[in-house]
Amino acid sequence: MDVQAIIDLEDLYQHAPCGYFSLSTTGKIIKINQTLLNWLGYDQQELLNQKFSGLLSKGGQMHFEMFFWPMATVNKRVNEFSYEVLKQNGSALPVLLNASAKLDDDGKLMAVNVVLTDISERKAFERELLQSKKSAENEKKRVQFMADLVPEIIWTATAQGRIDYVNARFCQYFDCDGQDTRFGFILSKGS
Amino acid sequence: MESIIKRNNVNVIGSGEQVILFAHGFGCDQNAWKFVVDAFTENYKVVLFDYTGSGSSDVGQYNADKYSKLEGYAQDVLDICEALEIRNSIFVGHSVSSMIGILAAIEHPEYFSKLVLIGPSPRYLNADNYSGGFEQKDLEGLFEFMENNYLGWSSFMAPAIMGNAERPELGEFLTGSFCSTDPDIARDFARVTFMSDNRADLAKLQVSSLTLQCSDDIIAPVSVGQYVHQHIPGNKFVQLNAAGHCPHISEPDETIAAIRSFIEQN
Repeated sequence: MDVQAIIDLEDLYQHAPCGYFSLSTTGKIIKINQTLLNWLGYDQQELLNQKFSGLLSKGGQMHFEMFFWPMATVNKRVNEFSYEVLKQNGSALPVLLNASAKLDDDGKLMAVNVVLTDISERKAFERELLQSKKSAENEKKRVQFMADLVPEIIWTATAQGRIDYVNARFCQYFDCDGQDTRFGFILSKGS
Repeated sequence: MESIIKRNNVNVIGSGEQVILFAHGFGCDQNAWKFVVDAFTENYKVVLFDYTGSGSSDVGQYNADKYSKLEGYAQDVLDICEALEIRNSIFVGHSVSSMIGILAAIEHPEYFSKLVLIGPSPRYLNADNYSGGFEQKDLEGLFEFMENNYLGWSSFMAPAIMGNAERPELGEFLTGSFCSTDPDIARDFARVTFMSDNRADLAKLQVSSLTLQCSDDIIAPVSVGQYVHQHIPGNKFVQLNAAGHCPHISEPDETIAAIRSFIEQN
């Protein structure tokens, strides 16, 4: 088969293994590929000239206005934003979003090109990780809170012998005040 | 003085006498003013800064208690005015900085001659007889989007950002850390911003002010801008064509012209 036919540019754009669209300087969709239309369940006519932020929840729209758009237009690119785009049937598609700004010769913004990657499965895994991280952080806070109520001196050190945690009683005893100064204080005692 | 300059990454550019203080909104930092600053440096002394905890400020100075109220952020503005001995300045605040500027100007009116409020909102949540535009669940949605995107800010990045702490050349922008904030601080700032209710403060403002209202802005809708206009004594109101929440980024020319025409009249 002819190689040129396999890598036909229009076909590459329309059926790329990622969602692809371009936004005007006012954030309206000016071009969108078939892959993304298929994912979302829309016809091209339904999305052309519409604001992309209309495909986000209201909280998502806020994030888009305050983070995506300033970064895309001031920084000229957006890397790995994790968004949820609403499909025609109302369900959410988790995507990873990368964008770059297209500028004219004077450096003025002409369009923002955006690529979306479907991360439904990765997202489920990530949720579990975030959950574990959160509970680990809460557990750490809880332990430290309780350690501060204990009348004994408690401290821990790394394998290299550097103190990495002291409780409130320790600080009372050695007269160091507050969390921020603890580490420096202890180091000064050590030297 | 040095400590405030460093804490808030204060940059002073321009050759004029009259000071213009540009205050960024929630989310990003002073780089947001990139497209409008040049228009003012010839005739004004332009002061740019990052709120404590944002951008290239000294994150170590962030105190969750102090910055749990907009008054804490207003104190940053007042500290900068004191450190630079600023009086009768023009304050240009975007988004939440509009309210921060109002709070600062109520406290020390002598520091300010004019306030430009870009996309102001005294309260984002709907209430009885007041439409702020948002329900609690919308804010939870925003917090979830923010949380999902903390992955872009890992603790490994922190030293790299801190490494930029030595001040850049005046007027030179650091773009590496733009919109990249410590997740805990960003969450706090989002909460204090979107849970705030400063409706009662509007009437206390004595300094002359202008509301710059964007079209099609979901964060600060036209009805909210009009509420601000109606409740601040003598407030001027200009409706911009610029769509979205950041006209200084999307339509800098129109924004510059609107600011100019207000600050150049006596």
